[in-house]
Amino acid sequence: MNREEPQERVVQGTTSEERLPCLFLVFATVIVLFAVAFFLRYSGGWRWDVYDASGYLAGLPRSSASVAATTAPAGGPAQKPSAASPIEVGQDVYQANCAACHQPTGQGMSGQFPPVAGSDWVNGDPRVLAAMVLGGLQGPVRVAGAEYNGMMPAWKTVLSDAKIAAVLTFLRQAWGNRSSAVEEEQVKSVRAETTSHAAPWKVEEVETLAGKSAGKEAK
Amino acid sequence: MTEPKRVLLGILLATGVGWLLLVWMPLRKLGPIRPSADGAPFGRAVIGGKVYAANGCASCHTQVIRPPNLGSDIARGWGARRSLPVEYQEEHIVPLGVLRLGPDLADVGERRTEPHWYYRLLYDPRTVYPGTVMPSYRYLFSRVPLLGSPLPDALSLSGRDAPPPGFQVVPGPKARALVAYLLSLKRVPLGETGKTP
Amino acid sequence: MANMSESEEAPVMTAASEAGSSLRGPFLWLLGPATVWLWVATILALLGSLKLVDPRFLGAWGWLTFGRISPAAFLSFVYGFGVPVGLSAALWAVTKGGRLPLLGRRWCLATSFLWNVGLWGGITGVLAGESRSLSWLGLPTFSLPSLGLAYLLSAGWLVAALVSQWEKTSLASRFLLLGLVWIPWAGGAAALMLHDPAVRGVAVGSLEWWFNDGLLYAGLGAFALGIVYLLVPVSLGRPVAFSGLGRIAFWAWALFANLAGTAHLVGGPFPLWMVSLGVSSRFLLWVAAVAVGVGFWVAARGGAAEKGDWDPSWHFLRFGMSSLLVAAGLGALLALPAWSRYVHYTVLEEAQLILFLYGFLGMTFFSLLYTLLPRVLGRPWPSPTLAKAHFLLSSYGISFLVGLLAAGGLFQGVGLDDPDLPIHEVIVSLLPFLRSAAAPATALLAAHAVFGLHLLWLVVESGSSRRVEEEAALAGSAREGVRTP
Ligand code: HEC
Ligand code: HEC
Repeated sequence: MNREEPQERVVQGTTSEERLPCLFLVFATVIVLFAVAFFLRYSGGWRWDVYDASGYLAGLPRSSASVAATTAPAGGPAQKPSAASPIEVGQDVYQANCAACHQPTGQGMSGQFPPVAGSDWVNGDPRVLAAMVLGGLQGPVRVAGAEYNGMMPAWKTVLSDAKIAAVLTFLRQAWGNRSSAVEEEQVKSVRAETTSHAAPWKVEEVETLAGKSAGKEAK
Repeated sequence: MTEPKRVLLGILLATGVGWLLLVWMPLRKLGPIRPSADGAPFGRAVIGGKVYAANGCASCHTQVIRPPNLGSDIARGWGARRSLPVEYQEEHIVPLGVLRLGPDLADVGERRTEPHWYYRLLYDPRTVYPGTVMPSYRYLFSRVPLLGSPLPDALSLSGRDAPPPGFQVVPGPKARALVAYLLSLKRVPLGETGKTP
Repeated sequence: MANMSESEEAPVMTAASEAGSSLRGPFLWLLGPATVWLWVATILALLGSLKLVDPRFLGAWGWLTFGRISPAAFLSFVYGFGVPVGLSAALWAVTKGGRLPLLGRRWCLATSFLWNVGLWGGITGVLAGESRSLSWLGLPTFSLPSLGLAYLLSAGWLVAALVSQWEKTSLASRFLLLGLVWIPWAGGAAALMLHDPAVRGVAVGSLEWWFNDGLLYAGLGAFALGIVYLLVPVSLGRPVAFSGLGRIAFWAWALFANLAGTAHLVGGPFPLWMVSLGVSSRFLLWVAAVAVGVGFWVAARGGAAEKGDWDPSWHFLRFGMSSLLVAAGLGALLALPAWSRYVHYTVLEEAQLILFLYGFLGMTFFSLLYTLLPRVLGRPWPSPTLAKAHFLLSSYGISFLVGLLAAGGLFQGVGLDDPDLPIHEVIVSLLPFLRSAAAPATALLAAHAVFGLHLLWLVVESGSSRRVEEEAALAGSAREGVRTP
């Protein structure tokens, strides 16, 4: 008697097929889509040198005190958090994306990563500089009197024009560099000109942009 | 292949994906520059790292500076910039931490440079921070007879903490190592010369 | 026994008489020490929370410093209680309440002995200051060989047995297999890596978190889900619904449990994709948990119609499933960067962990013990009141503990985010919550004491009856076993 009872119940249970609740399907679809979208949006291109998301995550308003702490000499009229000065944005972009190799101080690492502080490339033609950062750089390059031969990945898929302009402006004005700011438009036009160039630049190739650019701009 | 074998294989593959992505590849890409035994750090600070781990400082302290958009770490002055892998590159003990019941210590060697301050804190945190939840680590210190003048790193204690007359309290080897470790927590990447502007 | 979700085999209480003779020993070897570890864990956890209330409590004695007892409490719960109960679940599934080959018996004895020796050494080592402070990898090196050998001895045999009597549709076997395979695989790999001097840098951190979430979800979590699939037919008389969905959930679980840990590393020195992968995996694990949960509640609605007695097993199981859904959801939502800014490194995350550990794993494991032990020992639980007291104390204890920590964590997180608020004041605002958490922690200790006494009573009673009136007792148990879990 006792042995039969549960058996009957099992049979009952399996015969009445249940239908998946609609609510579950909606929930599962929404969450799965969200998870996939989240990952695609913040995958950072699967790169080992991208630490922070640009865009939404990086753009979350910072608390006022943290802005004050990182930018002592602001001085200007109070601005909305989203309209932070390019230097500030650039510093964040730099610390998040470039500092892993070029080091938080811009000094690079001897033999592996060239310095960006006191580099002639950084302080030179902004269009060559923008092209290097957009497309990446490989092969021998001479920076601050030393020879480097490494590979820097391309940043065009990771950073927007505005971010690249900001980080370049930051580079050109930090650590004793004293060069002009780089505008978003300049980066945009370099990006447009160089779309066809897929591989990272060689120094010889990228140098040619300096001359060519002036002519193009005139058109 | 029978079903159970397929399931077993599937389980191994699924586990292997995690291993590959989160352990093996980070080791290659973010690990020491030369993945070999030589070049590993040594010295008192390394022993201090073990003391830090063994006494569970990581149950209350983290060692991660998050970027400004993910927390107030930088605004609190715990560090100048977000943490990066290079700063941990040669370390065996990476106490990133789980809970913040105390300040972040990633950069503490930059803020506090005085060994005696650390000894006092570890011996009796309540003399430094009244009412704090940080426990006392006086078991890392020893009481030795006072012969002549106190040893240079004897603690100057008063009140209830004071040792009986004729004795002095000095940090034991573990306390010394621990403080050497804490002082070394500057998170200055290899080859760096200056500081952030 | 009922280890199938849909197979024809019914969860009938067969052959309790033969089972009693042969399974009694192995199960008691595994579960007796597990109960002791449960106490050790709870006492250490309570001590830890008292130490936070007043750090001078019990003095500055190295062995009992907060930083050692709090990991020791978690480690003894997971390795002392969780793993042996997981192994018992697998043992229960393969023996089906029948006989155990003599060889299996010996293996169980060896496992129990080596495991507990290793663990006593390990926990003592943690308290003595031998740990590397790596969360679930925190047991000292010298305890690992014994633990590894112990696990492999019985897991190897159990895997072989599970595979040889594979049931096509059985989700329980799949989940148990995942737990059995994952722990030695990952534990061994992690232990070897950590002792290689070439392994340095942040990879140690990602290794730690790969293992942490893996152990909780793919190791013990898989055991607990296996138990859910084992027990639902016993308690409800019908299997968990939607086995097709369950299979998808299983694979999602097996894969994403290994990737979820990096969600903890948000803001840390890791590339963006690692963190995002962890966050997304937490969400997918949540979906998998809800998929199992839906099947569970659909089965419950259709199955639990008539219930005369108060069935402790079923109540524990239901509490466990509810905790799983909440804990998995919290785990996913708290990992979102927009939130983690506030909640990361606060006790809110600890609340989630406790809900998962004590609420889901612990309660599901108790559910197994309430079903399994009377069948193995051939006697019903002596006192339904004690079982009820155990359930009420632990369910209220866990709920209040989690609630208090979660609320405190919110205060702590918002306070930490305000850079002008000194950390001292942040902690002071958190202290009332930590202080009151000592009360539910005490309730939890009481609950585990009640369970231990009840178990002792059951063992003693079954032992004496076995000697004195063996025949009668066995006949009685065959009848009782069906109704009382
Ligand atoms: C993976 C490491 C890495 C990262 C990350 C990186 N770089 Fe570079 N960078 C290099 C290397 C290597 C070179 C030298 C390439 C060569 O040898 O041809 C270089 C060269 C440069 C140069 C030209 C040489 C010099 O030092 O002036 C500039 C400018 C530069 N990088 C800017 C950036 C900026 C801006 C970023 C962040 C958006 C960045 N880099 C991120 C590795 C990196
Ligand atoms: C129970 C939690 C807890 C544990 C365990 C703990 N601490 Fe602390 N620690 C604190 C708290 C809280 C503070 C901040 C004091 C205050 O403001 O109240 C602190 C402050 C500190 C500071 C000063 C930081 C600064 O920025 O001024 C140092 C250094 C420190 N702890 C080191 C350690 C070490 C080393 C260990 C392990 C041996 C340890 N702590 C263990 C809670 C803890």
